[in-house]
Amino acid sequence: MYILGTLFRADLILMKRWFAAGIYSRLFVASLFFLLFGGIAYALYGISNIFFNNLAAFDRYGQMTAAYIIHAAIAVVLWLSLTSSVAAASGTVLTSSPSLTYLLTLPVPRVWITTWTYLKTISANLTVMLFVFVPVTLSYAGAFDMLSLGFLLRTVLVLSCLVIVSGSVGMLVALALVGWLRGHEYHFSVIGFGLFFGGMVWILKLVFPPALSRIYDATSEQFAVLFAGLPLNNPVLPTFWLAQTVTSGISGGTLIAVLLTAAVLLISLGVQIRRFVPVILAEHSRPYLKNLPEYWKNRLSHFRYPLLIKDWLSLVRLPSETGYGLFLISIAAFFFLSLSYGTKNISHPGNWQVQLIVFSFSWLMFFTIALLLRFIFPLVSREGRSAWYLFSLPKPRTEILLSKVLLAVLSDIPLFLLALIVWRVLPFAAGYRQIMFGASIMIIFFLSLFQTFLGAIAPNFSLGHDPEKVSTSGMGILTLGLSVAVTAEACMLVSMMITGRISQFLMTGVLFAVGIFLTVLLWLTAGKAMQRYEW
Amino acid sequence: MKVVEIRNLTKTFGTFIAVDSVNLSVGKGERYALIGPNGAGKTTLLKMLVGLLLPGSGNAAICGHDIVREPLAAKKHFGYVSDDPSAYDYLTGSEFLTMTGRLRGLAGAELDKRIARLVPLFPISGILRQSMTRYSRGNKQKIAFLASMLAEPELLIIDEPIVGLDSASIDTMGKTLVDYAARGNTVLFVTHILDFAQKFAGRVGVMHMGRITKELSINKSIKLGNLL
Ligand SMILES: Nc1ncnc2c1ncn2[C@@H]1O[C@H](COP(=O)(O)OP(=O)(O)OP(=O)(O)O)[C@@H](O)[C@H]1O
Ligand SMILES: [Mg+2]
Repeated sequence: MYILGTLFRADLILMKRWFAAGIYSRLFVASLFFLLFGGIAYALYGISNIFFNNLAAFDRYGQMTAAYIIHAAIAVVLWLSLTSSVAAASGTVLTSSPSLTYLLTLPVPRVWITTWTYLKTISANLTVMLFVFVPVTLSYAGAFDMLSLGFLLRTVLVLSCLVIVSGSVGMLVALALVGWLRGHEYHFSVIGFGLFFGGMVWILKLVFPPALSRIYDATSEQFAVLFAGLPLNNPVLPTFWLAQTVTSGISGGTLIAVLLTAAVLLISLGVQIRRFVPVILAEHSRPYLKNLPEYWKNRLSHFRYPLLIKDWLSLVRLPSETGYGLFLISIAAFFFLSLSYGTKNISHPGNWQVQLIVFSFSWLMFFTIALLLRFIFPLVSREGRSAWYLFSLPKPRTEILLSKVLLAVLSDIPLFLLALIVWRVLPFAAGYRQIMFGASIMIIFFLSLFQTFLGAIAPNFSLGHDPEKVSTSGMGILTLGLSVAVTAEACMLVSMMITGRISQFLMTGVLFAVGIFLTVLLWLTAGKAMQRYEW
Repeated sequence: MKVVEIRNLTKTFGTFIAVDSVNLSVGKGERYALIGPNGAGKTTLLKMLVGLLLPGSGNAAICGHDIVREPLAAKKHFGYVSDDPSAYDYLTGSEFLTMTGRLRGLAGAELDKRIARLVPLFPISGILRQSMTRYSRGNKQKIAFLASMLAEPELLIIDEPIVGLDSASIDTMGKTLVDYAARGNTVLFVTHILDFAQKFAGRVGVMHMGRITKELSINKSIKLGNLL
């Protein structure tokens, strides 16, 4: 226990150091971060509020449907957190972190190393989960007059169960698979991606069966029969117990769920304590990946456009990058698919179209910003320790910047496809599809330019090996802030356009003008900054 | 016209003077070694020369091209290897060489011919097709060195060429530098190994606290060991 305390204190000191290096700027960054998360949570709350209040008008059936939605959300979240836990745990096991490596050279019992790593993962996941899920349940409780301390505690209990089960299972799966994962990261990410997507579609089918569409016009007796027959309302599903715990209170099911969670946790911890450190050590002593996988050999190796090809390879040849990109895109696709299922048969109050369009647009932008911030913003910083090579070559720095811009535009293509899906699949009024698709393409394009330029203004070469950290550095948060501001402006214009206060032409014009203005401004700034790089 | 011409070059970090009005000129065909204790400012001096740091004051020219006013023209005349020869992990060694050639305007059969001529210098043909992630330090150093010679620039600037090399490779490195200079080129390098400088440099500059305090030509009678 003493050792565990020391390990946590070490983390605390690290955090203090981070703040100590420029307390005000760091405080600013931290508060911006909270503001952003708060904003997202608030948006979620607002949207679900509209949704649940809408349902509350239908009395008892409304409440039953709402409870059903909560259950569906739990099922979906469980699947998401299970799969992302497996992915994250595999990452932890496969890549060696310097601090963990150092810890292994110290005489610290592996029980504590394992427990420490595990506790950190679980608490991080729980925080994220609380942010996303509590706004939804809060608005549910508000709409049906159920808000109380007990309700909140039950929500936290259920979320803890979800997080613990998925974290534990994720570690178990990763430890079981690691022997085969080695050297086959690509194959496994493709298989994992397929499994993830298949599971997603299956859950969606389960949540929104054909019978659901008949429920809105059903008489009371029909409703009862139809409702009880929905696949998700099967009382032997563990998610059903969890959902009941939130919506109607502690029951026998709750107890079983908690006991099951505890059992999974104990088994997982037991296995981890025995296997985690040996697996990490085995990982360190694995033979190096010899040659590149066959399908990468000689592709593009002629380097006709050397800078562009180099940057492209830097994204696609690192399994961690490709995997994360695929993961984000598929989460986004999943999100919009479930949104389209969920909104298909809902009753439409007057301003429903406005809300749906702005909602979908802002989420599309949310995913766009997340992807760009992780992949495009760090492009220059990622030159990292090799920056000496590039910047001592007889190549104008503007050309280097241009290659990054080209790569950013190329990486927009999956986002364009996502936008296409969004504006085709969701039940929007026909007149808005094209203009919204056009607007989305334009904003995605401009955002990717902004992020490239902002990434070039004050690149963090010393963090180049860790794009995650680059995007959460001060400059990253600033970029995030600017991107969110641009998106907010776009959302405002879009809602003004739909409510008829401005024309489509004016909306497009203003978006374009702002985009061009910022592009030129940031481009000039970045170009100037590049001349003054010191490495 | 000298190949390297440095006049009163100074670099300060805050109040700390890392390079203190250094004057240096190196001519065609010379092999010039900078030696001196850790933190003397050798790396800082080279980094200014190759455009990785901005000079504080003073100026420097390479083959007559001022490094601040005409950076591209200056850069066309040298190849550089950093003291940390890390390169792109996600490329293989041979891809790195091909890319460097392309970036320096070589292509096709000519590029292949030059790579084929350089590679046999070191016993690295076995690892050329492997990703550079796992190259040992010495092998990274060798690849970066070969890449710097690919376009046959008039000047090689190498920061600590032999750190991490095995003794056979150190010998190859030294002889390659001598050959390279004998073809009418210039070599400027930093080293901590006095034997290496003694054996393969023509002239040595001793750097201390940001200044070049001594310069001497190497001949049999001079023992560098007595100098520091
Ligand atoms: N960006 C920087 N900011 C502040 N100080 C710096 C910076 N870069 C270098 N220095 C300092 O300048 C001095 C000279 O460093 P430099 O790397 O040039 O030494 P060196 O002669 O190459 O040493 P070594 O033999 O260890 O390689 C050192 O004291 C170093 O701490
Ligand atoms: Mg040095």
